[in-house]
Amino acid sequence: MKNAKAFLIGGSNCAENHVMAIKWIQKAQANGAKVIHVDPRFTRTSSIADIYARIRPGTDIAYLGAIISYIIENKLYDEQYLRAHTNALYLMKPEFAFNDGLFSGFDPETHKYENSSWGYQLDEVSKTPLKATSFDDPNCVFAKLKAHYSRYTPEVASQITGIPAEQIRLIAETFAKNRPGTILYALGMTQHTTGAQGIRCYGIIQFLLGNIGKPGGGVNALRGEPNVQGACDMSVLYTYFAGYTSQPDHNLPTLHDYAKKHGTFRAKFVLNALKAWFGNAATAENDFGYGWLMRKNATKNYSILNMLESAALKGDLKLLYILGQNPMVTNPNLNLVHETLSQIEMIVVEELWDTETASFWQRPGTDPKSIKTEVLLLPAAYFMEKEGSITNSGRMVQWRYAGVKPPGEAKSDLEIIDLLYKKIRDLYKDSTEEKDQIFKRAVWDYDSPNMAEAVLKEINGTNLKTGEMIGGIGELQADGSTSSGNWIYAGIFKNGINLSKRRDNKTDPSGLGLFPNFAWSWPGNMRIIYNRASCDETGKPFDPKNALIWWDADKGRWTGWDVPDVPSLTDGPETENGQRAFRMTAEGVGRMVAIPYYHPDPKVEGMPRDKSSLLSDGPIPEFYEPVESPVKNLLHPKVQVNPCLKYPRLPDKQPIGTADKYPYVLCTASLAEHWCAGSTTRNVTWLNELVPEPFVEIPPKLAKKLGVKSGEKVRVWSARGEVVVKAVVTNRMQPLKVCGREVTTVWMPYNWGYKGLSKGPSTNVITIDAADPNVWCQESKACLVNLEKATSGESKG
Amino acid sequence: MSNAFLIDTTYCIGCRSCQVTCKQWNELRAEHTEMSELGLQNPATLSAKTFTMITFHEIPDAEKPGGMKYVFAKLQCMHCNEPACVSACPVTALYKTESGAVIYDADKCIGCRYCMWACPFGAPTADWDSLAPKIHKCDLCFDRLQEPLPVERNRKPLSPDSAEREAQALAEPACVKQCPTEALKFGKREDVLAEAKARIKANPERYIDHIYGEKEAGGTAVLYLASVPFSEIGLPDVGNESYPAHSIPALTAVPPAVAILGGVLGMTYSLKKRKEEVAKTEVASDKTHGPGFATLKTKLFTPATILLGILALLAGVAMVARFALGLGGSTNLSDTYAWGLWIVFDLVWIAVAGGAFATAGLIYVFHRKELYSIGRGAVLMGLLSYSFVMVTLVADLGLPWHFWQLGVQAPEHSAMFEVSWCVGLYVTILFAEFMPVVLERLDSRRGIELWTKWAPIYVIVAVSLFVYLMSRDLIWTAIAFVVFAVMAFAFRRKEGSKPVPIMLAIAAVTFSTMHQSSLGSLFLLMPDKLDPLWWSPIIPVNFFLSSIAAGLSLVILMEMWIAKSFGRATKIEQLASLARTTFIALLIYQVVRLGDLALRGGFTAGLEGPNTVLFLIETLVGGLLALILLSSAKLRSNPGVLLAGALLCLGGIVLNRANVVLFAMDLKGPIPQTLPSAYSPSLVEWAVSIGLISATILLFKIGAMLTPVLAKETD
Repeated sequence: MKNAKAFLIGGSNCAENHVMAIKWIQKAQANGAKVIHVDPRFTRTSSIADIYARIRPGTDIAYLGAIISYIIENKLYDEQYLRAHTNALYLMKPEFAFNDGLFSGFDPETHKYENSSWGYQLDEVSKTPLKATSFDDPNCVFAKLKAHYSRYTPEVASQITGIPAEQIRLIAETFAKNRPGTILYALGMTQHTTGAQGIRCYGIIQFLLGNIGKPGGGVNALRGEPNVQGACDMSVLYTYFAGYTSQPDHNLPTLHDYAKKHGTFRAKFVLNALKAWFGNAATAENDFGYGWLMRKNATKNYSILNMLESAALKGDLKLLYILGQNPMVTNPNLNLVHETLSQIEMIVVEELWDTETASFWQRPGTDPKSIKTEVLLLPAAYFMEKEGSITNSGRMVQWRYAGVKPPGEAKSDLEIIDLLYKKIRDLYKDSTEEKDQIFKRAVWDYDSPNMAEAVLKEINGTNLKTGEMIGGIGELQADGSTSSGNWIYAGIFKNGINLSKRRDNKTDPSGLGLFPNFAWSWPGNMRIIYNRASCDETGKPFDPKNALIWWDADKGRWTGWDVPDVPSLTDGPETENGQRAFRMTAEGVGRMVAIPYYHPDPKVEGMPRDKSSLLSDGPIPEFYEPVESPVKNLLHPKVQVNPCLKYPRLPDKQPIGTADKYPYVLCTASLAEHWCAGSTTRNVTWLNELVPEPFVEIPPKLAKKLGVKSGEKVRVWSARGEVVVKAVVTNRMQPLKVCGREVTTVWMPYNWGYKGLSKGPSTNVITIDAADPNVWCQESKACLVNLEKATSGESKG
Repeated sequence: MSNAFLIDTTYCIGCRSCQVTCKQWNELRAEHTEMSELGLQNPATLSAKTFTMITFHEIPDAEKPGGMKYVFAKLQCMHCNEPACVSACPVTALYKTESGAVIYDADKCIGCRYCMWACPFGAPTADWDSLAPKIHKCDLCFDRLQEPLPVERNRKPLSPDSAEREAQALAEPACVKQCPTEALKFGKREDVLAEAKARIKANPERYIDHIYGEKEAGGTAVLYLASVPFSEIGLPDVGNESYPAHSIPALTAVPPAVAILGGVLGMTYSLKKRKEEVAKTEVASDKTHGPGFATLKTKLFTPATILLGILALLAGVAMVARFALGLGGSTNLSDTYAWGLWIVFDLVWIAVAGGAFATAGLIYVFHRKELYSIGRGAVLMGLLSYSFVMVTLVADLGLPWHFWQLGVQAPEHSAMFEVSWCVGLYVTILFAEFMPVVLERLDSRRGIELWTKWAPIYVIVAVSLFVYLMSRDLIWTAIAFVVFAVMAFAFRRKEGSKPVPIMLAIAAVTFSTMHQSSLGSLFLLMPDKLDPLWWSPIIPVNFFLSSIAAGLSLVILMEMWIAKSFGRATKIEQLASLARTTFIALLIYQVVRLGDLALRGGFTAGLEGPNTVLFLIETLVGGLLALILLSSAKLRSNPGVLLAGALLCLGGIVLNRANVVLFAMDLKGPIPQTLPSAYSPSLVEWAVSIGLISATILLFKIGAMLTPVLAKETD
């Protein structure tokens, strides 16, 4: 980040929640970089910003669309980059359309798109997309984007977001003219019913400006937990299998079916994972044990919201095993969460503390006798008490050692799962049922003095012929001769050395801060992913002063300071592989619009090599209001909210508040001083001293109207629930002019609950449990509430 | 080579990791806090549990993004180059190390809390929760330097690289190590200062052109850069002068002053004596000395004495409560009001007990023989008063059992040290002065002889010891020794003459002059807090002069009280004579005080401050009106007028002391000095103070009944 010339921080309060990021932002700032912060509230991050824009929660796509439009209209884009590394010139099907807030193919019954009209015009023979020669071709992606965003003038965006039109122009101007620029976001961007599309806007802006693959460019997702990146890599996301391959589901009974659906490239890695898990038991004859895997029901959604609601509605969730999460604080609409947990027969919680979830039956106002759920609390070890790897947002994997032993009977998650698995395996040892084969076949041999490293070795993988550790992704084979538990980590244990333990923070020949011998980054120790895009078509760096990689014609290979992100080091710019800067997409280039496409596998007849992933709610980001919004959708009043959204899912339990009863917008977030559910931090008295209780930040104007001062209690309630917390009146909060009227946003931290040393009402009692239709991220950042000065001290939450 | 750290508030993002890390490294408990009008800032100020903290400031600025500057300032001890706290400490419990840190040694501390008052930043704080409150503040993590380096990590020996990193980490304060931004930098003061200057130069629009701490309070080891005036982020305007510089001249003057004053008093005595011898007016001392003394014959138990006894008993109970509950638990003292009612009483008491030295001086040095008959009473009153001041101090000190540290530590220029020793030695002198009364009562000739022989020698030893302790200089000690030895020799008792305690009287006056003035010197360190109508570089002189007027007034009042309550005749002539001296003392005091104030331009600012009324009461009622009432012999001879005059004079000076300690003090508490300052003494405080005064009066009566203190009634 220190190489960036501009920062757009939108949906992140990094000074408070990702403090270390600020170090590098300030270093860049000292070299003249401009910092833009867009946020509903003026935060500690805003304090260092060169431009601060106050925005109404949930309207990011409106101003980002205006920025996209501004860049296009004023020709601020990087044409060479667009031509070389994006699908800007790809021709879309002429039948693709967007009218009145809906893309072509929308089915109002199912709230789903039938996306056959969204694709590319394909070459009859090669089945590859046809390309236009000019950006003016009305069917090319670029022209479609231009047309789509022509509605997003700064004035319109200003009406929606509350950001002055001039400031939107200034932001666009500043970010476009100071390149490379980078974008930082966190949950402020994702916890919306349009979250995924908002991030797509960031991608589009960065493609337009040629800011991806370069030092100082990119889109930085600032992740919420220290190892959430690592957890996602290992498929904690319910849609993904290890290494972001898709989950097998019941429609894909064989590996071949899987390959046909998801491409041969990814199927290879599933195969390698199967080899890692089943060892010799996985053979070509038995489809490498693919059939033993538990497959998802393709018709079901496995997000936590759906799982819990399924428990409440159908009672088909018998046992819930929760680790590293405290949904009784962090999930929205907590009254419903409590109701659903009460329907589950047994809940196992692996935790450091007795949390609100582990003791949900003790919730104030609940009669424990009325709850039949059996809860087991397993004492887990803190991160400083266990050894293992941790992966940061930059994909860097660093090994951590145990600092101290866990207290009492507490054990690391790994030990607990190991013990549990062995016990379960024993229970199934006599079963002959097919569904239980997984227990009999799986290799489970981590009984080494260093269990965590044994697991990492399995993740890295082995060449089963030579017995040597896999040295990189390129060594993985599709014939069962290699194994790798998670292909993107292949090479971390190259030559039997745990590279994540490396700590050379001095060697940086590039001067760009790459430090190639410090720890290890996936894939293949690459520091800046998509770095092929830092070079032009001929393989020469766009910016020779900040060269990352280049094509060395003399040696006939890609080389440079970083590990080149190319399919093959020896396939030069003249080859197809030499131009696949975004090789993980089916197109091989950056996708300005995300539409269906299968890239044929040149080696396997009739099979796709890659499939482009899609968002369900449209190929181009479009602005929709949050479910609870104080105003009508200015762009298309008939399509107020994301059309693919199904909400309420449980009409009697998910009421939608309206602006006449709930005139204020509530935005929620975490604090520098408390982390997530606060389970740990609220048990640290030093942190409780800093922020001892939950509160609501309100602008002075509203405070005056309510007749409250800082430190006095306020009742905050929504259609779902209410809390009573203290008010903090601050000029950092200000009302906005939106669609011709004044809209006031208030803000609350969500980190409290009824357990721990610092207790307080949970803000999520009032938040809405609508969720993004793609990833089911909850809309915690925008809902409607009302406020009044509290007469009694206690809240019902 | 002195270290310093730079706090560049423009880089600070208010993450407060410094605040938490500080607590972690120093193992400090958390404070109980609430969300308040301070917004995210918590706690409100530094305290014994919080050595460093971030203050949050929302400063409107239309030019800036969002219409404001959101500024975060890290506060902690400033580690002054010339620290007021170190200068204040009587036992060197606080000291400045060569590395630049001002650190604290609890094993030495007596808990006087003078440092808390002296510090212009309010950095030293006390742990009031503790039964024995110690001082707490940032020590620049000097203990990190003493931390042994780890030799292995992850079961492997530490690599040279890691060892170096480890050593570097331990070479800077925990807060600096933890800071994720460029906000905190630690290094040699010159380097850090140079960096601060370079930052301003490189980015002049980012900063205001001022490095706070470069010159403030004579320079500090904490240097600040900011984009807004420092007054807006909780950093007080403390001026550029070193605080100890205000008190050093007064205190370095003590050793020579002892020798000179002793000599002057001796010479005065000789001259007066010679005059008397030349005039041959000397008659038998018995006659000169009046009718002699007798024990008071009266009933001990009267309603008044019973009440006094009950109050005294309550003081005893309160003292028990004080130690059972601790200082914090039994008093309403706080980090803002580290000193309270007890110190007011101490100062008042010592001032009014000045009657003992003043009368002794008048009688023996100035040969005011007509006052001889009231001398013993004045001495007993002084002895009792000072003794109970000592008792109050035992209650007031946080760690009284460390008092012996006063004997083994050598602070350079601490007014508190001076006062402690001087008062302590003076009590022994008072005791020695009172000895003959007891011996006379016991009819011990042998005792009187021993006393006659040893008292002058004790004086020489006491004075020499005192001078040595104050100067740590053998030459000054030798000079004082010689001066007093010569006097002792010159004034030795001639064969056949009655013993005259002239050496004790000279010592009494000398010691009293020193500590009465040094009590004023205590406040020289507080020009930032004490209203300029009271603060003056010559406040020691004011204190000394006023103590004479107050002391003599009290003697007058005491004599009138004795006469009234024990049905004795009022010796109006004698008292009028004393009142004349009182008038002169008061006049000199007022002229000096007001003259000094006028010369320093104290009036040009106008009398508009909040404390003007108090000042006017002091000077007009306690000063001018008292002077008028005592101005002529006729008025002085009228008992009513005399009573009123003495009362006003005394009252004015009592008010003066209360003003100096409490009312005219603008106490701001620990930085950021935002706490409302409020103090009302607790029941225990009142009980101790009032009870001990009652005990003084009661014991005076008992003393007068048991020993020949009061003059024989001449029928």
